[in-house]
Amino acid sequence: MSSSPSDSPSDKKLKLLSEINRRDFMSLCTQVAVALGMANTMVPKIAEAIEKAARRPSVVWLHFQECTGDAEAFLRSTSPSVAELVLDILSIDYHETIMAASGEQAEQILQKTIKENKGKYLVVCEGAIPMGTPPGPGGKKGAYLTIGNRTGLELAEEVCSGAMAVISLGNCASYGGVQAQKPNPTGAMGVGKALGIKTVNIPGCPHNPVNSVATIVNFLLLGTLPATDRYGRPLFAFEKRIHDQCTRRAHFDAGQFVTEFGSEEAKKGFCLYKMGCKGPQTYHNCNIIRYNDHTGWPIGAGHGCVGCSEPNFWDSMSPFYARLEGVEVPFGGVESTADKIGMALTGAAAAGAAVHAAYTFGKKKAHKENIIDTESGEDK
Amino acid sequence: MGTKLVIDPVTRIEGHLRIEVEIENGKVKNAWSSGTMFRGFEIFLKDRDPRDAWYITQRVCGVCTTLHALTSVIAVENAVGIETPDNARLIRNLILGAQYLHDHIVHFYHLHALDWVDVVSALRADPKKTADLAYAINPHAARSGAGDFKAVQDKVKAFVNSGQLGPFDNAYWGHPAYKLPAEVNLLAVSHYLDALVLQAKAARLHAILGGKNPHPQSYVVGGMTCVQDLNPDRLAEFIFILKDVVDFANNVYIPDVMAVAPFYKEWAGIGAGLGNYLAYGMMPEDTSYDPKNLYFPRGIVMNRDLGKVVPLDVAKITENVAHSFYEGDGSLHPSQGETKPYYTGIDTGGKYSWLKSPRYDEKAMEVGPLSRMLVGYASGQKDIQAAVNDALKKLGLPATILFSTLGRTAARALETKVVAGKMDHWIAQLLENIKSGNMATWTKFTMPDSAQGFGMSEAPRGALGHWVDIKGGRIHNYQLVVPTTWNGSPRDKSGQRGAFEEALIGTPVADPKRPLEILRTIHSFDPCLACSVHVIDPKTNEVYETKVV
Amino acid sequence: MTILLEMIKTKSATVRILHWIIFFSTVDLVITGLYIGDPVLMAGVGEPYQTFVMAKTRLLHFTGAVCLDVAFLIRLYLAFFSTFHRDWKEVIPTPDNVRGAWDTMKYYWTFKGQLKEHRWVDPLDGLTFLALHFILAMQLFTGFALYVSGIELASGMIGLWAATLHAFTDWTGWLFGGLPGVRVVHHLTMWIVVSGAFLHIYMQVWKTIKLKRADISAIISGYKLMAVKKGE
Repeated sequence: MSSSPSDSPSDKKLKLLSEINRRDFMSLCTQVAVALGMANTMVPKIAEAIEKAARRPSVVWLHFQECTGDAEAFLRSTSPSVAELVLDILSIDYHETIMAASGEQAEQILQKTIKENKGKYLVVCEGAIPMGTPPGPGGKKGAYLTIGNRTGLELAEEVCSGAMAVISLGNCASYGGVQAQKPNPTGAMGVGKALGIKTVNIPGCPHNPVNSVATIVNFLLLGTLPATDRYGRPLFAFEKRIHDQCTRRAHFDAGQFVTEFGSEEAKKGFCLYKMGCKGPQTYHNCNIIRYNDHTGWPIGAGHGCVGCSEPNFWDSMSPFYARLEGVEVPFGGVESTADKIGMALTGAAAAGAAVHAAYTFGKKKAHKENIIDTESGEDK
Repeated sequence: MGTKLVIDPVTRIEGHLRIEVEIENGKVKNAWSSGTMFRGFEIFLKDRDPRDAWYITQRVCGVCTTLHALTSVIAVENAVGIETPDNARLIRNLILGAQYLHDHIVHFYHLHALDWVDVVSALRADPKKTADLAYAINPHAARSGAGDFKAVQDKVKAFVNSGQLGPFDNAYWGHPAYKLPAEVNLLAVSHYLDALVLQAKAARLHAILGGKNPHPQSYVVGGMTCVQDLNPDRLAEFIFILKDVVDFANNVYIPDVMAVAPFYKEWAGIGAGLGNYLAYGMMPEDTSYDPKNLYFPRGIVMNRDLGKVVPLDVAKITENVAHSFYEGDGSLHPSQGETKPYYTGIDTGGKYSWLKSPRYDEKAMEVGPLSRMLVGYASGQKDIQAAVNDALKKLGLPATILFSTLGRTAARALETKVVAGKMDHWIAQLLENIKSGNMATWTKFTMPDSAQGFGMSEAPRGALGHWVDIKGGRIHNYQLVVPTTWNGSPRDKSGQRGAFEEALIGTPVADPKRPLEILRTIHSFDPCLACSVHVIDPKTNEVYETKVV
Repeated sequence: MTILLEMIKTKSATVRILHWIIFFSTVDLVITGLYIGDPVLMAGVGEPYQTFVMAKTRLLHFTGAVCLDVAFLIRLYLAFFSTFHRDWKEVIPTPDNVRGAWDTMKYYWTFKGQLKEHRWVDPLDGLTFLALHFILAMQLFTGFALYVSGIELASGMIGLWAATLHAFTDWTGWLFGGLPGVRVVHHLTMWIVVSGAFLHIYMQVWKTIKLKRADISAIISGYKLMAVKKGE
């Protein structure tokens, strides 16, 4: 590799994928077929389509308000491994966590990539975009995050405007994530909303790399992004509820629940519903594909789901260890649970009736004389 | 006035970092480190259920992913007054240990190695000689035949010929500061790719006991939830994956560091920095979490004096905002710190970072693997002393070389060795508990209406502390004092530089347009910026209020 | 002038049956709903089929919901197309009805003035009836939004059913911030129904005792007492 990119033979087409171990490669194709809900007979076609793509698609990976958890998650991809993704499948031209160049050199790459590949590169976003304006003399919209002396918003606008497609990885890039929870001090929001564009959202905290790889491969194969639900999430991964495919579902139906962590019930793998599990409100495929090469998933580890693939789960799914009985609803300035409010309401009704009864039945006067007839006779 | 140079963004780190230096006569004369992102964790932690805090604070960082969760549950448990079961301690130690093995390997190969290794030079290497070299360094490494290196070389060649250089584009290849022979470069490139595959496997250790990685999800206040995983098949899986990871650490990672170090001996005299090393310690040896019973000891080494460990007094930690984007400029204690963001734009004479400046007893401190190893060494921790002495003997260098950029990188490798050597011990303890029928992983508790607590541990990047104040059963105030805030802090009011800034002073810069040397020193700290930026609520934290003022 | 009281038919058999279907479904829904929200009873160890506590409770809940919703729709139809009495005009908040409801309310608390006698429905009862049915409609929408979340958009009849329910109920998720919000609203609304039903029963008992017009009888036999002016 030379320091100047211009002297590289950029048009030279190579059949790069022959370099990959064939078995691993077929394993990838099978996994992709499964994730996309395709029949096994599609596997050779998928392999063929990937192999045909001699020039690897250019990817610009942007980091905004994030914890790098989604880049780390992407690194955990096993079939294909991230080495294959980086060397054989994609051309990850800008990615602050792994790229060799820094500072001005990094900035040059970014400019070169988006100019040379205008309309042909993929943008992968990680992290939310702060839209708020910090107070102070230097305050301007989005200044809670600056990269290369520009706000995250300015950078996103520039890079995403020439992109073929924008994929948001993780809950932050998809919907604002952790920093967007009440009171959202920096005005953080998802990339799609911040820029007013349509993005494919692959939420999760962090997202599952099987889903991001499947989305990218779907794109390479078919030239289109996968069908999405109303929150922009690919249906192949987010159409089904965790609850409906949960390994503990039988225990839910049976009424066998864990009430204390580490208990006998927990050892038996009973349902975590009473521990605050949000599986019944969460659409995700983590119960099927699991994490880290199918090694585990939160409910498998004995911890309830917190709904990390749902928009705004930080507020709507919390507290994480309570279901309805612990969920507080704002009610006339006082926060209380639905049951407390309901019981108070019923109590008030009962008290009102009791006062009324005491008052009226205490009186001797008969009321029937006070009744006047206004409607009589038959119906019209 | 020398040449001004700005590196923004600094890459191969976690988060958003900007470094500005002033270069005079080929050396860094002055430096400014800026964190350029603000999220406001303390603000939205307020009024949350304290049991949820670990899940929220875990999202502070996805690289040192498990540490904030751990420190948060320790802090809340400390406030509530729970002693967690022994199994919970062991599982936490194992998850933490696995994190160290994973994180240090990824840091060295994928975040740091390209500062020392010239990928282009590897194309000129002789695979056979590389194999001989690999055998000489360590005869036990796998995938080290001439054919293996040839395959890697061919693969890299094909990649370069494709014209799409991806993440390796426009870097500093051919820079005069690269000193390794072509064969060592090829060896390192080959291990770079091996480590990419290995790290995904290493992450499975977390998935076994925590459901997933990044962000394992088996923590709860009171213990751990993964009681179902304390069975032979899961633990066997853990033991055998661990074996592979430890093999890689001992037979590839550490030998690589030892092989590369002799070519960069001058870096043992560069990047020394502050000379004050702070460690909170970690990995408790009993359920009391007593600082005296930590496997990695707690304490401070001042002024490079390895003869003495200063005991840590939590009350002496203060934070200054004179050069940070917050209102005010006073040297205030965290408990009274300013909350309000006050953005001026980057002005190296004034405010220039979202990070605050934590100080211990008014002094800037360095945290991280080097601090832990030095504090452990000075405290007489046997395993640490053995690892350090052994390495120094092999390299034929005195202990003073540790106070440097190279020292930081070497300390990380040595620490990996120490942690790797201890994992079996905890697994054995866990198996012993299971054998004796002790399966407890969780302690029942009632959330008090009002309580204060703190938790301390060590992220791979350095000392991490959480403070929680509970009122009305909710979080009233939550504070985090995290590693890169110590290391990457801007100047304080007295003008005292932070650890990054101080370490850069005197660093040679051969070509200001390609500031490879600066990246070496910055990367040797393993910066993690997402963690570091935070504000403190002005409502005073009573933990501090009683002790300080 | 003497006032003669006569038994007059005020409620058709269909309306009465519907009323009791709604009553029993509501009782069922409240009990099973409370259990689903917080399953206090738990099965011991054993195969799920041996108990199926939650599954059966949910089945009872859905059955009750379907009964309630069907009864609700028929009652809505009857309000406009009944062959016995079309009462839609009496339950909508026309200025007259609002004034009448206010008068009735005032009378209940002060016993001053005169209480107008209605053959069909008192304006206060009428408006309460309408409010209660709006609340029931809210339960219908939120309940089906929760129910359909577990049904995939498959093909065939199930797919059509799911698509229909999605079309009619997805707005609740948007309005209340996703399924967790819908769930809270569904639960809160249940309490409004419970307290409303309580007040309704109290008022009917009160009227029956105090006004001596056999009001409760109407919902069982269809007849209640009414003044008939004769012999002036």
